[in-house]
Amino acid sequence: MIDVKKLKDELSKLAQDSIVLVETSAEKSFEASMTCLKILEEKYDNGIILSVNRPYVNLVSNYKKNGIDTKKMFIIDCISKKHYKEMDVENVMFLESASALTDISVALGECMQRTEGKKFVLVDSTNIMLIHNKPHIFARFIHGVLTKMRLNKVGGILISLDDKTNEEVRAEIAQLCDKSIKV
Amino acid sequence: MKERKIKREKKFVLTGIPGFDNLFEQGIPKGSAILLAGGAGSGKTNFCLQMLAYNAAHGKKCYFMGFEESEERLIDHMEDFGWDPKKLIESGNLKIKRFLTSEIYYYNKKSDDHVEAMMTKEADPLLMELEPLAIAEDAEFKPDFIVLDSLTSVSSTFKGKEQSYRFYVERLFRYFEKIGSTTFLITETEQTPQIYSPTGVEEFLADGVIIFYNFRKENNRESAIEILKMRGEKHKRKIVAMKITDEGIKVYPDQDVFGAMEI
Repeated sequence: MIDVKKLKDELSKLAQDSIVLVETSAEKSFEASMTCLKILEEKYDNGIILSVNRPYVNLVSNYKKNGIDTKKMFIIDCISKKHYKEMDVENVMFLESASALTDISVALGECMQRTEGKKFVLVDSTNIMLIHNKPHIFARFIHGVLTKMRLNKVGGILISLDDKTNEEVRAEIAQLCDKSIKV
Repeated sequence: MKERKIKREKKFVLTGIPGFDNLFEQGIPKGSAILLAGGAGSGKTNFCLQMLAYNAAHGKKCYFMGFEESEERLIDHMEDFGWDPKKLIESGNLKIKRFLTSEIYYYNKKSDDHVEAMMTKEADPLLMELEPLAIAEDAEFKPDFIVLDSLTSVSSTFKGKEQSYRFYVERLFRYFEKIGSTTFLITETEQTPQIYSPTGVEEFLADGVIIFYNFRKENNRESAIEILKMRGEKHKRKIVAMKITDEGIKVYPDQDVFGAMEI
């Protein structure tokens, strides 16, 4: 179990447009992601979820189980395009894969522009993206996305596994965020 | 007394392609001859059709001279993107014509005769007086924009007669300069081109060079565009992202292309 109170306390202290790196273990990763989303949902009007971890259908089902309002979430799904090409829903965009960094960056930028009200971005997770991309290119991608978030005054959370692989990239990402929280 | 310099006022044209015109300070200098280089499926023809549709809809005379796809097929492409080409053709602002490569000849303005097929003859100084191609077949239609798709097809006609081709191309550029149309000449290259035209001479003769990329990143392709050269205008010196959407081409002037970083 993750320390929900600690996470809530830490996140509530931060400004609306803060960007946070949340580090957790592989076992707690999904729970951490859901907990972060519930906290963000209370704080913001709308959310943009970049999912390279679970497909849209699975995410929506879990959001509903956890009482998260799915109408407030726009999901960029990078894993199940081939299965759901013709899905007739408005709050999802299917992209080719987690390695299509240019498309992902363009999609995030367009969603930030289009989404109304106070909005956040949740990236789940940086480790999965690192499986598909070279570390130095991924670091540049994150830099570009975080710059777009700053320019659009969008807050957010990047979920990452607290492991020793890609230490350099982890340090670069942490440096770009306002805070790192381990749960 | 200081000599007063009179700067000639330049005119610029826009393509109307979302994001692309933002790569320039003002636009493409009017009357330029622009080389569009890129691999198969990189978006060159769509770019040109979109640019012509935009300008024809804004009252300009536009001429697409193709050597590859049929008129019907090009019209179908335009309809797929929702550009209503038939209306533009009916208005008299858009003309699409397919040529056979065997129709590459010089046109004698004085006598209205089609003179020599260049592939049958080496460069002849007498031909210097003649105009390349048959653009002038309709004296009433004076195009503001011309697209030639493609120089690669033209060059294939001159196989084994490279000297004739160079001569022809040089005359072609001079001709476009003289008639004052803004001209886009397509060339087929590799997906990540290093050489931008059939002989390499074309990119020196052209006022501008625009490159279309199709980078491979893992098992995906990423489209991108770059303005390599544009005489008389400041432009962004960067490879930027481009997408072919259901509504046409869209360029993202501030978006890095991550596929390009892997090369």
